[in-house]
Amino acid sequence: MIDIETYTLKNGLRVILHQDKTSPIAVVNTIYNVGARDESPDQTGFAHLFEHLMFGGSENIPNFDTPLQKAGGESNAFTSNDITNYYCTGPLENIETILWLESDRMLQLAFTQKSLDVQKSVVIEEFKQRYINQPYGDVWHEFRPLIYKEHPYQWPTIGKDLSHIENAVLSDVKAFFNKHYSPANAILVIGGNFNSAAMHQMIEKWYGDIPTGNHYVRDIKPEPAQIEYREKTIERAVPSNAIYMAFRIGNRVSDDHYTGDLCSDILSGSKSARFHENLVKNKKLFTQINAYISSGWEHGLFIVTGFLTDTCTIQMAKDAIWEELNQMKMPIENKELSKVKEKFKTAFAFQNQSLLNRCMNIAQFALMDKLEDFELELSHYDAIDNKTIEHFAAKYFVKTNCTTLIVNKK
Amino acid sequence: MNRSIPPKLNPIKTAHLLFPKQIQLKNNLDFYWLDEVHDQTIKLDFVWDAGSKYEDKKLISKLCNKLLLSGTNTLNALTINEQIDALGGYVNFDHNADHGGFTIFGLQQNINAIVKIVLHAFDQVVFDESEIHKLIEIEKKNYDLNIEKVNVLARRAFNQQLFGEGHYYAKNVVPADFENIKQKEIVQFYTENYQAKQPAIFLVGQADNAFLNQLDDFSASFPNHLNSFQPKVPKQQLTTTHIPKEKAVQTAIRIGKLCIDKNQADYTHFQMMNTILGGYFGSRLMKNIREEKGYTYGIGSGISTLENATYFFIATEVGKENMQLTIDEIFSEMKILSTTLVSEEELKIVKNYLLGSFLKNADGPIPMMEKFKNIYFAKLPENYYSNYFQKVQAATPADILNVAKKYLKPDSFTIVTAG
Repeated sequence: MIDIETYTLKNGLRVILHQDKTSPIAVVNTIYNVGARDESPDQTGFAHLFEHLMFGGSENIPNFDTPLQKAGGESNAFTSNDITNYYCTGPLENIETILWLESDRMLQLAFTQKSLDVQKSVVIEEFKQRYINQPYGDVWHEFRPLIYKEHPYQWPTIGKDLSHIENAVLSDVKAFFNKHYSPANAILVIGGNFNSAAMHQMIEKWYGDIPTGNHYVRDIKPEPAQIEYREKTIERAVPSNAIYMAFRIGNRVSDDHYTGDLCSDILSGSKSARFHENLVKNKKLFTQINAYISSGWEHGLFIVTGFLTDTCTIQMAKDAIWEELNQMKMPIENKELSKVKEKFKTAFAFQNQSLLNRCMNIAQFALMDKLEDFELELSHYDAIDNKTIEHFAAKYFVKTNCTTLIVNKK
Repeated sequence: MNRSIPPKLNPIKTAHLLFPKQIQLKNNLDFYWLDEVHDQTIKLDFVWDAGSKYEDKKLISKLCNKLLLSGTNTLNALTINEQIDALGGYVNFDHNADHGGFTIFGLQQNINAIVKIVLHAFDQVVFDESEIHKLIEIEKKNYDLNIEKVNVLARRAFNQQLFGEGHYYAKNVVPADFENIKQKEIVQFYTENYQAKQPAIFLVGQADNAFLNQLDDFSASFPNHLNSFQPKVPKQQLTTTHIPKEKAVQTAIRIGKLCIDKNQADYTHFQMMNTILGGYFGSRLMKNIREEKGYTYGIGSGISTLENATYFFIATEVGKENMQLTIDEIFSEMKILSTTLVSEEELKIVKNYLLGSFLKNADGPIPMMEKFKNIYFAKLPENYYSNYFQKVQAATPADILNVAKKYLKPDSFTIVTAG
């Protein structure tokens, strides 16, 4: 059992203390209940741009990184469609410096035109580097709107378009901060070999007087059920043709998440998995083909991506993938299921060795209101039997639940 | 409470590094074991002198490495993989210019069985033709994908200029290299570089006697050997090269030079100078090029350590319109470092950052073993890290100025751009 203590400050900030007696470092992880899904369709990419601005200094501290580095610490953050997560690591003896910095930017960010202008350029360069100047870089910009007709998952966290980032103004930044960044919308996770009573005091000292803020109530219409097959073909300067298929499944907290995960492992989780053995090695249709789940908090996807060999046509690729997916509806041998479970156990043990990983996971489970699941993860996977997988496949691997994007090389 | 006053800073305790113990195996194989692990995980590394510098023909060492478990006369690749997977094991293949080998990951209850399968498959591998051809096809596609990237184009050209045409650290694969690869070339590489050489073995985790006996038996087939490799002196070209790439929206920049290695007395100061220039988020290049001007998503400098060479480099990708401005700024930052003393304040930040970062990178037995491997492969003394701490703490602005003056002369750099 891992050591977790949870409590809530008077201002509504949820705090989770995770003791680890063996680690020489401390982790301060802050998750905010805001992601790209909370953006308006004409201001996409804003949550991520905002994440950059959180490093531009706060009301009482002009620069975030310098004092942190001086304390021997490091920091970074990431934005997903669902959440924004900030993490700092540093020597335990200087954890108060981290709390001082993190609490001040929760209290009041400094809004400067200079910081906004520079970070807009930085994010535009990030957009170019990762999504334009790379083969297949813009695939998800094309694929998402085909899958989601209404839901904000239809745009990637970087944003739909460069112009959305270019158009961001300071008043939007302030409004976004006031709406989403406050104790009411955050969870603080501390990890390390600290003294619990001292930690309570320190947290109260730096966070206790931050005003609660407005509790953000999300009001996003769910994506309507998909009832028709969708397909689109694009042409790009890429080295080989590629196929992307997405099937709508349940969200992150549903059983589908776990079943879908194991199902994807049976197809492509290892070298003895079906895709690699049948489609890469035997039929030689793909040089690479993977299945995985999106883990979306509101809607999930089961995704297949394949890169075709020069002799494989799009039709051959589609037929072969469907054959494999249909095969999942047939009885699965126990040893095949037990194999993916064993592999998951090993991966899980290694992933959880890192204190930082654990703290990030704890924060996400807490924000999902599923903190108890953090330790139940393995048992969720263990509970899945052959029938569950067959039912999952029969329910979701049907044409009307499928969206396909074909990338043809120019 | 006045929030503008920072909490008192405490001195950073130096990391308490655990080093592995050396265990005797047959033929005196180098075997290191770190058993201070509080869970069921086991990580086992095998490393041979089997990197690409030992191959006569490009690609052979990489293909050989990736095919080490590709089947024996009685077990095909699928059966081997199925057996490993059924036990929850993972095997990663590791290959670079100097070394080749693999890493096994597993949980205690199954690890003996996993290792048995892996070592048997390694020992009896036959390099089946069809496995070779499939892998070549996959590698060719990876090549086609990577060659589209400006940072890859820049790195290739940079290596060529840095080490000189034909040097084993500047092997750039071209499409023709994927043709005409023969099975016997791979077999020969395996025989000469895996079978005939001793691996170094690194174990992290709790293991029992049966496990150790297995390693002991395995080591019996590796006679003592002397690495007779003759290093070749690199010939850096002080050139400026541009690799054109149509329609690229960004240009990759790579600037660098051969530099001193970890055995030199002023290496730690050089390393600190690198950190100030471009080695962390608060570095001068990040502040100037990203946080001040917004030309890039990221810019950094680094020191790369190979077995027979060490080099220093600055790398970034910028909007193509800002290429020349960025290059000018990089040289201007180097000039400032070599003419003006860094402030005590900035030096203090860098010292603490380095100490904290070391602590973070030594968090847990697996990262600690990586720290040990660094000094093992570079043949550095065991007290290297404690000396490092002392040198970092004692460094003065004059020390930084000295190394910058000595090693950042603008005419000593090779410049490559791609885009």
